[in-house]
Amino acid sequence: MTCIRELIYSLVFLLSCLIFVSADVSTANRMTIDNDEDSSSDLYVIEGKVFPWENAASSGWQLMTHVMVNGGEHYGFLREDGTFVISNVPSGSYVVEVVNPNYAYEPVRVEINSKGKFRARKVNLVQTSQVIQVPYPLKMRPFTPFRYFQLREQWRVTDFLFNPMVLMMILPLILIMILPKIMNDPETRKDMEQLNNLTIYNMPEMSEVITSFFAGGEKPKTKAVKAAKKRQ
Amino acid sequence: MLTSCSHEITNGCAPTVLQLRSRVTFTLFTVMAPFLPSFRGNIKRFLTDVQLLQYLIVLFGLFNLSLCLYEDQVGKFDWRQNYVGRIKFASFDTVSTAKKIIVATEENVVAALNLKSGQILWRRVFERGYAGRIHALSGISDGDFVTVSGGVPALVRAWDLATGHILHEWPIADQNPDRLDSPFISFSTEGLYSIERIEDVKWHIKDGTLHHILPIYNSGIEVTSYDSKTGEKLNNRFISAPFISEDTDCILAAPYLACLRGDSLAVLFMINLFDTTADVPSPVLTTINTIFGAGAEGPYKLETVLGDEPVVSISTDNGQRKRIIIAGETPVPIERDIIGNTSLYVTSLDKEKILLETTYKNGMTEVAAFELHTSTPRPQLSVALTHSSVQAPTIVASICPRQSKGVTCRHLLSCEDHVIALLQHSKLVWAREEALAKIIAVEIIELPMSEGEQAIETEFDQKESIDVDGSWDVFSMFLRRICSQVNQARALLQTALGREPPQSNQRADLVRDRFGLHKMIVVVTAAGKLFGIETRKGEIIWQLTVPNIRGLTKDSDKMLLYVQRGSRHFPHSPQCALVAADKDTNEGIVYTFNPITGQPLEGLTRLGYKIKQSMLLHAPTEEFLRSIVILDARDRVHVYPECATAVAASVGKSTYLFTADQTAGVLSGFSLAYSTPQNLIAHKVWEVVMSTKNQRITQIVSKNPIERVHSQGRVLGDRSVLYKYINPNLVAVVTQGVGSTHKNTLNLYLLDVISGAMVFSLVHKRARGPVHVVHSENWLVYSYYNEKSRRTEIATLELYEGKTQSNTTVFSSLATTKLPIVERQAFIFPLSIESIRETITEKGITSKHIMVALANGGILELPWMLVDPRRPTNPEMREEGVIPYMPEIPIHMDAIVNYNQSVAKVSGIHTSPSGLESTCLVFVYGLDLFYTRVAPSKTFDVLKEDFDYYLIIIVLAALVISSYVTKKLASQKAQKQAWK
Amino acid sequence: MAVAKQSTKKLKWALDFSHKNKQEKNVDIASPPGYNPSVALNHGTELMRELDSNHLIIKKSWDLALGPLKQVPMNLFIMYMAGNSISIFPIMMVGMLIMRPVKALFVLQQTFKVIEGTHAFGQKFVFFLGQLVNIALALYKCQSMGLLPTHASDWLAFVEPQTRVEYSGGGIIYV
Repeated sequence: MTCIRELIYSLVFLLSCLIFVSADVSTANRMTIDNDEDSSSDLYVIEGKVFPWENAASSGWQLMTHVMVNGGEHYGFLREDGTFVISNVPSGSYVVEVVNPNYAYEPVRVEINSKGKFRARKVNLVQTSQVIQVPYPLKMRPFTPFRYFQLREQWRVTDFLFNPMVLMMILPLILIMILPKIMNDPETRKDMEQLNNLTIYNMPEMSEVITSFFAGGEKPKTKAVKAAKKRQ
Repeated sequence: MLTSCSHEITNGCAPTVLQLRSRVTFTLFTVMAPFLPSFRGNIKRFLTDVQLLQYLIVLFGLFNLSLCLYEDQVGKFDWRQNYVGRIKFASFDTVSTAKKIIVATEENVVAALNLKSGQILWRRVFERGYAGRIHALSGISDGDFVTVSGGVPALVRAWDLATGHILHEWPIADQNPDRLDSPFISFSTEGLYSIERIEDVKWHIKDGTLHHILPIYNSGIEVTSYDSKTGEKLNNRFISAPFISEDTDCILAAPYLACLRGDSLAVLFMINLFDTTADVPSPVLTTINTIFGAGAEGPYKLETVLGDEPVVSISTDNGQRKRIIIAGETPVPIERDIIGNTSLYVTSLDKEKILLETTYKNGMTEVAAFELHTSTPRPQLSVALTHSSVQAPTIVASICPRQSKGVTCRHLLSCEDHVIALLQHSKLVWAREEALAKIIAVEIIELPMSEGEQAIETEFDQKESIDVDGSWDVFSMFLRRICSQVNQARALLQTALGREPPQSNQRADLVRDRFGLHKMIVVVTAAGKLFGIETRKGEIIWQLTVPNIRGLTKDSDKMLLYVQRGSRHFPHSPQCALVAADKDTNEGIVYTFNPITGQPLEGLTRLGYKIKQSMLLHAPTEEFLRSIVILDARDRVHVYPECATAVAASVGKSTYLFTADQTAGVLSGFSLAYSTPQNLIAHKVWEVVMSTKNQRITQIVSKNPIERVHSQGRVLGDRSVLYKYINPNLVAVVTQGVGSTHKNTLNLYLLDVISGAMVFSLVHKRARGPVHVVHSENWLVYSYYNEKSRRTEIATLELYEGKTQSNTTVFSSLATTKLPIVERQAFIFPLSIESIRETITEKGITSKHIMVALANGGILELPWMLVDPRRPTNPEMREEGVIPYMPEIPIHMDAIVNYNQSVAKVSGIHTSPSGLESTCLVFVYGLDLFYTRVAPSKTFDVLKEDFDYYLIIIVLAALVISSYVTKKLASQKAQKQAWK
Repeated sequence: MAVAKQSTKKLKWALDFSHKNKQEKNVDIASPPGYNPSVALNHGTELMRELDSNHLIIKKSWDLALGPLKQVPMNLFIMYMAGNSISIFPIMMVGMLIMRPVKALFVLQQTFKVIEGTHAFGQKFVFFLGQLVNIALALYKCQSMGLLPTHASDWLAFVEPQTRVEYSGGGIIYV
């Protein structure tokens, strides 16, 4: 009996030892793994698809296009259907851009956390904390074709007519033509005359005033006018 | 009026818009005002409205500054050339109907070349530097092929042959599953390789299987096989080979790995790696004596013979001779000596294996063919070729298909000077100058004048070159006149006597045009090859190979190109000098040549000492030659050419040289003031020690020595002047490293290199490279990566003396004590930058733009106004011509000067003034070359090319005619009036 | 209708230029149709002055002498309309504003030949003064337009670049 009991005891001891040891080993393993993650982490693959511009999906657009991560740290090339993968990416934050000489694509920031979770969001360089999420795997669509060139000015009649120089020449011409016509209109002529008369009335000639002023000693009549002048 | 004039130029098109607008409003006023007296009350309000409108227009105008290119101007004055780089691997496409050659190059490029013309059918550019390096290229099988590239872990990419699309991509991530998952850690004891050992790793792709062969020191070889399409791991074998150590020279001659060990009693081991029949394949030993017989001396060098058979070659007697061994169950050494510098290739003809021995001697390339096993010569396959563009070639790929009319061998040659050439029937089908994919130094040089003009110029227009001071009197003019006539007479006599002056093989169209837009680009490449490229079409005019040279520094290919004499000094020919190092001794060399014709002038001069620093002396000799001042490794000063020592000594008092030691972090300044006319002495006058603990000097940027600054100040809003601090001796020193809190920091110092005075310094915390700096006039623009906000930023500094100028006539660094006022500002740049450079014009009147090469292949012309540090953050503090601050710099696509002609991997931008003040020539180099011209302030000095001459002529003619007609009519009327 | 319009206009203008008494008179009693008070006034003064030819000469001389001064309000108005922006028309106008008085000053002697009479000196002086005032006005306009080179910035284009005393070269060492 004792024998058996001893055996059982020893078995239990052994078992516990084993458990202890294995536990120890497992913790040790975890430790090393943790250490690994400090110095280097797993590598991930960013996936996505690039779409061509609707009307211009000519052959070879895949060849002209590639995907660039962080300004050239990693490249992704397009398959025939436009899908791409970017391999060997450690966790971190990446700006994924589609490079095409003819069409503009919006860049996307892809964030991979240390657990391998992906998040894609719009790139906002000014407010870096602002998050507008976009779906991942990435779907890159062109939003506009690039316009590298200036349009040549074409000669148009309206341009010519609204040219200030031409306007300046034509308007006075018109005025010269039209003004006499207006003058011929009796009512306006009357108006103008009235106006002229008024100015004549209200603005007595200064030369006269001064002449009278200097000669004022002999001619008291002008005094009234002089006074009027003074008030002005 | 004065201020308005200067602004007219700086503001570009804005003032014209403004003028137009105010002109319109004004005409309206003058016309309408007398008739609408009651309208007057509204005028004031209207005026303010107009003013607002004007501001808007000004803003609008500023943003549209660089609108320059019209669609019909494409290719009119710009050109692009695409390159692939020096061949690393190549293979013929024998499968598809459109025959191609697939090449993988040292520039991390995979490309398909047209077999007939050598044109690039498609090209894929991999990542820069190590991450994109190509390790292996597979042969072509059913329309696709595989490349292995990158660091750790390597990337396997499968490509569609016809279109260049990628088919698959997978990383070799689980290389060592029994060790640790991460391949980044190096445990040398356990044999896992580190990045330094990556070169030991061998790759072999055969029949859709990729073998990764990793030699482990003192243990064995690990061979991992993968399916090259899917990345599926097929098997993993370990082959015991304890003889492999760090000094074992191992090469792959698939399926064998051949290792050479020991020097005196060398033993060659050969192991069949893929032999799955034997459980433990045992290496086959061959002693060196069985190969060479007795009497061969080391060191031996083992090389793989490219081609279809596992053949290795061993060279002996210092590379004098070599022999080949055919690997197999029992290696078969061929007992035939091959000259040491022969390059070998094994090709197959039907079932026969042919060894091609390529030798190059005196400009002639000979490819001799031998049957591999029996060494019987095959003269019908042998070729001889003499061609100037093929120099010291090696065959990198060859096929000999049997056709109806016999055997046609095609050899793809890769030459020492990076030329790729296709040889067929002893005829050169095409050649590509791939040296241009790696340009190191560039100068743009004016072309000489046509001969008729030269004669006139020599007589009258030399005042500029002879003395700048303007002390230039009647007597010297007379003397010059006599001199030129004597010269002319002498030339006439010489031609009459039949002794013609050396006729330059210069082309007739290589003359200076009226606007100085046609120039010569002189290019130095890493291969040691020089090129002269004319700017109009990008045609290579001349090429020169300087043998046996290398870059001055160990890790980079830095070579220097100096223009010692320009083209303006007829009858003296222009002269350029290349400063580099000798490949064997590492001592400096100077090579002088004529940059227009490509003729060597004095040829190669070995200096006999190592070059530490060099500069171009500002004072020319009597022959208008600017000499090169060289500081050797022992801080002694030399002048090249030596006859210019007296000139150098005479200006020694004003000549300073500075050096920056990256490893020690020491900047030192030397003065040549103590020199005697016989002997130059560099005397150390100052020393600045930068902290090297965490920081390393990464860049030193000085100003372009040919730069001229026209405007000495900046007009402020209150019409006072802020004078610029224009110190020509100011350099920007950038140091990068880890700061105190273990964050990357970037320091920038502005240092006066005459006095050693630190003018300004700043620190960017949490910022790292790539740093690109432009230093010009009184400002500095630099870009860096902001780690905190994870974006590229551009920062600018501007230096001002203040509202008064301390010395209006001269600038002396030693006399200036006042520190400048520094304005600074940073902006967000939304794209990644590869390289930046400022535009430069002849007189510096034109405003400056910054040429930015973007990572996406565009070249952006960024107006300096957009990065002006005086852009006010408070919009009410407006200054004339200054846009309110906005954090992000807008990128306008019409400012991309190369439109959709993307350039890959730009390594630099060179700008040069043209004869027109408005126009600057821009040459962008990298993997591709791109040349264009830009006009930062628009072409104000020349009529636009779309100027409507006919309209002007018609209008003028109409006016003249109408004035005559009205005169007639008026006189007639007057006559009639008089008769009444 | 016309009458009413006239009266309002009169009101407006009369405020500036006429006697209070007269004005009141005018307002109180509307003028009979066909009656023009100014004609009567003019007629009256003329009648008186015709008696004195000397007076007429002096008056004409004063006319001449006061010419420049009379231009002043007109010039002011032009200046105001021209605005302060620099473009070709304002510049042309300013140029004219300057050129006219300057030209007039050059032909001063010829102009003065015409002036006779007792007030000759005063007239000459007033004429001269008027021209000066015009020039001053034009200069003021130039000043306000920023056309006068009175600031350091205006001479900036003529500031020569500083010449270098020392020359330097060098960089990161190669060895």
